[in-house]
Amino acid sequence: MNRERVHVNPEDLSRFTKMSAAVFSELRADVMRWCRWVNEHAEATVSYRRVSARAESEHDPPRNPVLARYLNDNRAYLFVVAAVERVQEAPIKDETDAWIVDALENAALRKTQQAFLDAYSAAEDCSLRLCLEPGANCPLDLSEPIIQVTESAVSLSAHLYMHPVKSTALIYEIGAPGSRAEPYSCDACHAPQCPYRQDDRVRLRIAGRTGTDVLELHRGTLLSDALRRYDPNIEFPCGGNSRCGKCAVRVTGNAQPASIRDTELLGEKTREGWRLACSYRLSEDTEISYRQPFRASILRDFTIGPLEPDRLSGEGRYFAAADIGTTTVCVYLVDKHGPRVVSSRVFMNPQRRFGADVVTRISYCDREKDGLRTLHTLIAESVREALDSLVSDAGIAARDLAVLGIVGNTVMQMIAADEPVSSIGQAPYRPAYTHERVFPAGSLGMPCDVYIMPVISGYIGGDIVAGILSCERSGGYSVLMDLGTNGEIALFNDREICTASSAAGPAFEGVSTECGMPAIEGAVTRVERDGDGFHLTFIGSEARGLCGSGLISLAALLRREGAIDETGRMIPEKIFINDRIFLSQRDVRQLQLAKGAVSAGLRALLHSKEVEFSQIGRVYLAGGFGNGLRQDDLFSIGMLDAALRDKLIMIGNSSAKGCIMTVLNEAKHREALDISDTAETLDLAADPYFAAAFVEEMTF
Amino acid sequence: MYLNEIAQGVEEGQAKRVASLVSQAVEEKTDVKVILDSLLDGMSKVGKKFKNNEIFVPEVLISARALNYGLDIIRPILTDTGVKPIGKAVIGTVQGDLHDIGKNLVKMMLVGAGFEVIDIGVDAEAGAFVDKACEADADFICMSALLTSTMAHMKSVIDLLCERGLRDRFIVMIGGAPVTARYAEEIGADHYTADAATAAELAREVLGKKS
Repeated sequence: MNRERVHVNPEDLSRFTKMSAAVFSELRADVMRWCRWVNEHAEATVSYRRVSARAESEHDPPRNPVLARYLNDNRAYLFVVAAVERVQEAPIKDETDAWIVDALENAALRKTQQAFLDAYSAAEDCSLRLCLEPGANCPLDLSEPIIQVTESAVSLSAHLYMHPVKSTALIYEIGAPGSRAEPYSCDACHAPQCPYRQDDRVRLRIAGRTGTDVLELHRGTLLSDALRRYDPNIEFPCGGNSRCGKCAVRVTGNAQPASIRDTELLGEKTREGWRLACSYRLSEDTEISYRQPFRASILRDFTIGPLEPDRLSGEGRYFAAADIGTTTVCVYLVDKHGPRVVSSRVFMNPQRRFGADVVTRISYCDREKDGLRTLHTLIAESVREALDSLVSDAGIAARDLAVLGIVGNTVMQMIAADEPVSSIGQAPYRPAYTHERVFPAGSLGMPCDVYIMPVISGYIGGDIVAGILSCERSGGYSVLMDLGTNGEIALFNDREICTASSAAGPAFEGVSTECGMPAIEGAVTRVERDGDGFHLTFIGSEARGLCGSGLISLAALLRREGAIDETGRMIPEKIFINDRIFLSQRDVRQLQLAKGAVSAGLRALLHSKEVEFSQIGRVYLAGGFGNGLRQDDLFSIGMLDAALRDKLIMIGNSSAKGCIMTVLNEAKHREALDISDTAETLDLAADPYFAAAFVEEMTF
Repeated sequence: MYLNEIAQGVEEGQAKRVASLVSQAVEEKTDVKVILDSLLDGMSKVGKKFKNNEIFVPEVLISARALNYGLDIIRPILTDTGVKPIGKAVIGTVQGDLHDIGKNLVKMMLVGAGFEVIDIGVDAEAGAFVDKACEADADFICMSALLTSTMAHMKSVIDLLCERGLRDRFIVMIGGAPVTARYAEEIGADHYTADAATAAELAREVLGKKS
């Protein structure tokens, strides 16, 4: 054990702590002075020992039975104790001095550890991974056996303080050669919101009822916090204190060893991977199985205008419509009498695990053997499950269902019909066919006949055909914008239709943003200023996240107040609207991409048809926004040109509505076929006007 | 006229600037109470920002230092003119516990809210809290603990107060990572707050009610 002088410099302070440039310059003289002092008056020591639970040629396994439980018989570990000690009392005047010295000594300790670990892993040609940190991921009293095993001179107080104060006792797992050692990471820390936390993310794959979702989270996030984000309605009866065992989930990939609490509450189930979500920290990519209960959609319900049900006379009284979006799927049960929507189900598209957008889904089908089959089965089974749940909740029988109408973008419709999509993935991006399809009961795994909407082109699907159907077409030009993961835009009058599709990304669906959520219970739909704080409008009894309209409303408010500037820069970088929901700079960027794509798409479409904004009579806005969205907000964020003010009409889920009309009514059915045959498509990707407009429209 | 600038100087942590502005104000015979208020006003803004996660520990520290530079200048005048602190608090980290950053933050916020604070440091024994509080005739006893193993000493202090029949003489406030409102209730402390800025706000409020 050698004592060595430490060497820190002012940059270490700014590297390991978060402070503004102004603070740093204010403190610079003191920092310089204290750096010199620490370098002259502090010494570092490191003690270590390689330990394997099997002993053999190595040192004895630790005698501490608690520690032994944390270690794996087949692995080797490195026990390390490092310390930085002042050899002389520091002449500290005030708290600022104390903090600077403290931070510099922390930096010195960290550098000492890093240097030791680098040297050890280079000499022994192995990797080192921090696995046990007493007080963070195992009991604090395990410092004691670590200090004993390494024969370190560091001592422990009755309250388990190490002396010198700047000491660490850690256990690293010795692994394969290659990767670099980490002195200590933020993994095991209990403060995921800590401002000093290194922004390091892990992926959590959640295999649910309808397929797998992937969340990106800070390393060290509690699994229970991750689940809360995924399913805002999840409950923790004991308040997340590892007492009731109700939050147990099955970790199917990369499970950490069961903790003592896990074993006490879950017993044998831990062998199958069951762990308490409230005490499980995500230190690496993890996969779990979690079945989220179905929920009714709230915002997406709508009423259908008076319409004679002349196509479905005589058959069952009910039928269903499935609106299959790239991100979300809504299934509606409709009573022909009325006609009215009886109830609905909304869930995440289970194909999401194979890619967030249609292009990656197509390439999955191309690349993987049985890829199409896999994606088809996922969507068919989940729609079927939702359908069964709708039918049984309504107290009717499956035979009362006359037909299931399926509507979505072209790729979603084709996959639902189990038909190849590869031609859409390459120029000239044409689908195998554009006409409607009918399948008899039983053929796609459905209990009734299936009707699939006709499409316009590879990127303009039945959802847009249905959307146009639910708009007024006479009286000059109208625009339809459907804001989902793909932002589709149609410009039409009673004679012609021109369409375009621009990749908006999932921001509007409330999926990709940090506190984003779909428009279901708990979603904030509108944000207004209320004194120093905010007034939130939300669905249900508690605000849990921001859906698309909430995101737009908040961004618009902050833009009006100047917290977001023209370029999209937000100061501060994170704005909380209550104690848990916030908007981050990253979210604003996502929104900029989304609204830029849509707004540039519209400009390009008008440009190609030589139509001016002033010639547009109506702008129909479809998508999951519902009633929460204020028109003003769309103008505040510059998504729509000011010339379109007072022309906006919200039509909610127009694709489901149009699909229901097509299924019910012969005149609407003929119109759908006509739209599919005659509409043109503008390829935005190849349009130089769009590319130029996109950059411009990204600003606010 | 320097008053807004003094508050702003504290907020931005410019110690030397605050010192020179305060000296200038004193020379111009500005009411010392007004100077004090502008210093405290700056610190209270810092407290709010800290509570909202807009700024972090380093910013609070340099603001507190700027505040102290200003206070050091006016302190003799305050004493001469008989301006009294709004209350007195004894603060410390309990026995066995060496954590001081959280305790220091509370101390700074209390000073920033106009209190006189007597800091008995870290690893402070129960007797030290009680003796100091009696000696200074304090209104508050504030205790910090960062470890589950040391937080039990908060109860020792309260037990000692009861034993000596002094429990009603002081308002006991506690805080620290493992401490909760429920724990405060369990051990018979008067108040718990989750962060330093709230502690200072609450102390002001409680004192207002008491008098």
